[in-house]
Amino acid sequence: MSETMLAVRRMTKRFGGLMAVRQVTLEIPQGAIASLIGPNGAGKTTFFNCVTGFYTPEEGDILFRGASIKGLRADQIAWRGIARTFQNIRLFGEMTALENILVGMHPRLKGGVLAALTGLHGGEERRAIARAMELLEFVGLAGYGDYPAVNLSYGLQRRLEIARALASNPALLLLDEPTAGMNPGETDEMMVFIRRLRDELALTVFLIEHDMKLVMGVSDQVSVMDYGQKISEGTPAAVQSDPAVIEAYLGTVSHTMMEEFDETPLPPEARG
Amino acid sequence: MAIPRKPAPGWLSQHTLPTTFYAAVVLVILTLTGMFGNFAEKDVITGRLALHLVALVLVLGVPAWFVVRPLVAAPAAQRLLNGALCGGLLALVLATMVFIEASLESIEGLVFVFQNYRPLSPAGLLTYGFSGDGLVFPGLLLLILTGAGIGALLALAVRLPGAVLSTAVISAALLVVFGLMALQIRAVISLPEALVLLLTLSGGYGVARWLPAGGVWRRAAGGAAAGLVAGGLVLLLVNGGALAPDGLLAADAAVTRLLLLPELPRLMVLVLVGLAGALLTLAAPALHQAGWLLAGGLVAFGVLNASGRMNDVTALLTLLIFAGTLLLPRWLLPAAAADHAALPPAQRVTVNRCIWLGGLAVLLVAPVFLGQYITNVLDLVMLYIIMGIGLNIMVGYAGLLDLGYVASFAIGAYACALLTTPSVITLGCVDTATVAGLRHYEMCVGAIAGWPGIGILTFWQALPLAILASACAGMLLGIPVLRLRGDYFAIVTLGFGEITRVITRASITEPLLGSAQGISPIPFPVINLSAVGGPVINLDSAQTVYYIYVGGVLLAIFVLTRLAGSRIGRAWRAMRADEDAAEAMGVNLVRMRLLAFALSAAFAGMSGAFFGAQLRGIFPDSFTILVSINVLSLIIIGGLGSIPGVIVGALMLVGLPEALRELQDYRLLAFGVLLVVAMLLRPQGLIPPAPRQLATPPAGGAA
Ligand SMILES: Nc1ncnc2c1ncn2[C@@H]1O[C@H](COP(=O)(O)OP(=O)(O)O)[C@@H](O)[C@H]1O
Ligand SMILES: [Mg+2]
Repeated sequence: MSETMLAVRRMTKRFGGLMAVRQVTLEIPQGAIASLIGPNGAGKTTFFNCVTGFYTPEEGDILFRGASIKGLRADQIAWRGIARTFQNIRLFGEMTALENILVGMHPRLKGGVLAALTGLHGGEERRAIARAMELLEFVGLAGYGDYPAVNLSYGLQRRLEIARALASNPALLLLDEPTAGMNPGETDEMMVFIRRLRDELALTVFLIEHDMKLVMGVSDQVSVMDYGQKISEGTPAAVQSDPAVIEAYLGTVSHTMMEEFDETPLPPEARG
Repeated sequence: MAIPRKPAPGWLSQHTLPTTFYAAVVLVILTLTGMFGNFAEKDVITGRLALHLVALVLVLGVPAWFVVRPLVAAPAAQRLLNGALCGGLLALVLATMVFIEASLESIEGLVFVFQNYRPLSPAGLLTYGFSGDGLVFPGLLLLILTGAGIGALLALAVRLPGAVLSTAVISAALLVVFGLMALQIRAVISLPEALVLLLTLSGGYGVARWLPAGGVWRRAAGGAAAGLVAGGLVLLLVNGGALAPDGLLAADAAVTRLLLLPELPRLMVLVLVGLAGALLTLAAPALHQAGWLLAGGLVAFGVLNASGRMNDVTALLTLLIFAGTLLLPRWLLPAAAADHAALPPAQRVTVNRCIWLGGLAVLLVAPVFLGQYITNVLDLVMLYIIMGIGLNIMVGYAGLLDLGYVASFAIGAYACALLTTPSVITLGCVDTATVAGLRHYEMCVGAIAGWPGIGILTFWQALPLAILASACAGMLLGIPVLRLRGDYFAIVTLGFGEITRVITRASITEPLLGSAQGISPIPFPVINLSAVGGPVINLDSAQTVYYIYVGGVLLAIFVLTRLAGSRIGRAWRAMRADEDAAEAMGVNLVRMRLLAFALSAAFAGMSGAFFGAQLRGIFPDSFTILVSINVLSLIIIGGLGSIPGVIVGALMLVGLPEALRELQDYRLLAFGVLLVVAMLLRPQGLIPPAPRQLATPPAGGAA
């Protein structure tokens, strides 16, 4: 494919004596859907937190569209076009669904104190609300705009969190376990939805996921982490048959999960 | 292992005994601090009802209410038993204390320990006047029966409709407030005037309401016509000699303001009142209620003025007036609410604007009627409203628990005082010949006589600088705590508040800040219009400074509403909800926090400048941590982040205690109880902010 959206070079993040991420190198081409999998505690969320500026890695470099973003603050990284969701939903509970999305637009709006006081940002504000309504509709939340986020159901909150991330018009979207806590039906919808994100919004999507069916179904590229290290990478088919991956999963995860991992039928494009 | 416990009998609610116990502890403390004895000297209704009986009913009734309230669905017998048990037991505790006091040989020991204690038994304060031989029987027995009776009554009342209950409680509370303040509020308005106003308002309302198919303009015209008619009648009456000492409208000349106006202004006022009545038929529900309550309040003021003091008849009338103005509009409400909802959006905006303008007009003329004392209280309330709005930016929006808000208040006050008053700084700027031989006080004396003193600047020039100074100081203070979270942040800001106060009274800063003597006298603000041929207005009294405060409050409300609905306000609220998520959404936490620091400090600085100019002097002791706590409490009670909440909170926590100076030492106690009760009943505050409805287009539009 064309340009590289995200390139992580030999990144290491330590917590005291614990190396949560160890010398990980990883590249995501523009327009790809990439997945990061691995047992619990493998360091996946920590990896995301380093990329989005919540942690500064001790070693290595992070390049976003060719420029280093290592050491930048989370808000600066958001301004540059990386948006994310969280493993445990972190919406602004008292604010309405629409306001949550408007906060997501923060980097794309200009109005400061003076604009607010003089009312000069009225046009921008109206356009922002219109755009937020579109986003609500896009994620299937039309009609819920005025509900406080806490009052939404779990599934709707997950979608709202994605809509909020989309609001900043990011180039790269990081999703941390988007289907956690969802039933199989909702998970299938999420799979379709993630494809739409790439196809309709031309986004590059990078997701952490435990549901193998979804991972194998949508990913162009799968990376596997265990104990902070990247142990495998490639197409879903290649990863699925990698002995190192099977080893890692056998060592830590229950057999039922392994079975699911084995039985997941590969989508045609992944096989070919 | 759980200890086996004997289950309580089925009829006894699990709340009854614990609630009674806690209430009994409070009751014992209150009694030992001499509350009943002290309150006995304060009449609510002259010669009939003293404050100690009101206190008695509250101390017995409130716990009983909390006991019977959860039992609302229980059978009557169970409610009665629990309520009577609670009230009766509490009264028994009280009776025991009275009995012990009566059997002591002397109460000197008691008074030695509890210095405010006043004897209860000799005068039979709580025993219907029975003392001596009759103290125990029937006196104390009656007391206990009273307690049980109150509990039982509440047990029955708990089933009454909410509207009736709240009406009863609010009317009774207003009666007590009126009774205690009778002397100060007697001079608000005379009865004939109040009645003229009420009739004009109702006339406008009635015409507009029952006008066939009345749109906004027809209603307005009807209301104005009603006002004209009223004006004409008053004119006839006045010309017919009704204002003569024995005339129909004759009233206390000292308070007659409206009727003695020249003809044209009087007519205009009445037309406006008629118009207001007409607009009320279209007002939003809350405004509709408020409008009628205001009208009722005026009549109650008038009745009080007519009778001179709160006697039995006045009390009964006051109670009826308030009950009426609370209940009657409820009956009118559905129609008004429907009409309000049916208004086309453009007209609704017009109507709302007119009503707000009307409210503003009332606010502007209020000090003329309310007199020195109450206006003073209102000034203080507005001072706290400005600070409450400022602190809301920090606590309610940005989510930063600032316990040292008084620091910014002090900085604004001192900055303004330094710039407007002779001091080390200012004397450096004045040529020595002018001040040769004058002492500090004498340099300011000129100001008292209407001359702006020898500061470098006038109040108006100093005000923006003072605001700027405290905004900058707020930001500087903010820098070291930027990275702190939650509790640590609160503690450090607490320190800032104290440090500021300590600096103001330190001996090093004495030449500049005056140490414990503070800075005084500070010249009052002067509006000098002589350049354009206008008058020179001295803002040197509570009633004139009032207008500065009104301006400040309006400015603060404007700024906060504008910011709240903007990108900045949303970023703050997001930060408060979840800092990390907000940062991930691109919110620059440092910048947003500093902005919150600066803006909230600016409002505190503004209040500080007003405060100094009103009191004409500032002293370190005005800037204690109590100020921070007061402001914080009032915004929490009102509802964090809500502007109506700040107003109601300030009226309740600052206005009421100030107005009820009668309660003296018990103000803080009542304050505490109020806080606890309010937080138990409404943890979100009295008026929590409503979610912003941005997605739904305003109702009543093309639907
Ligand atoms: N802030 C932190 N401080 C200390 N240890 C952490 C922190 N965050 C994560 N860890 C540790 O790093 C390891 C990786 O965690 P995480 O990235 O959350 O794993 P995953 O998302 O793959 O389940 C875990 O052992 C976890 O306990
Ligand atoms: Mg994780």
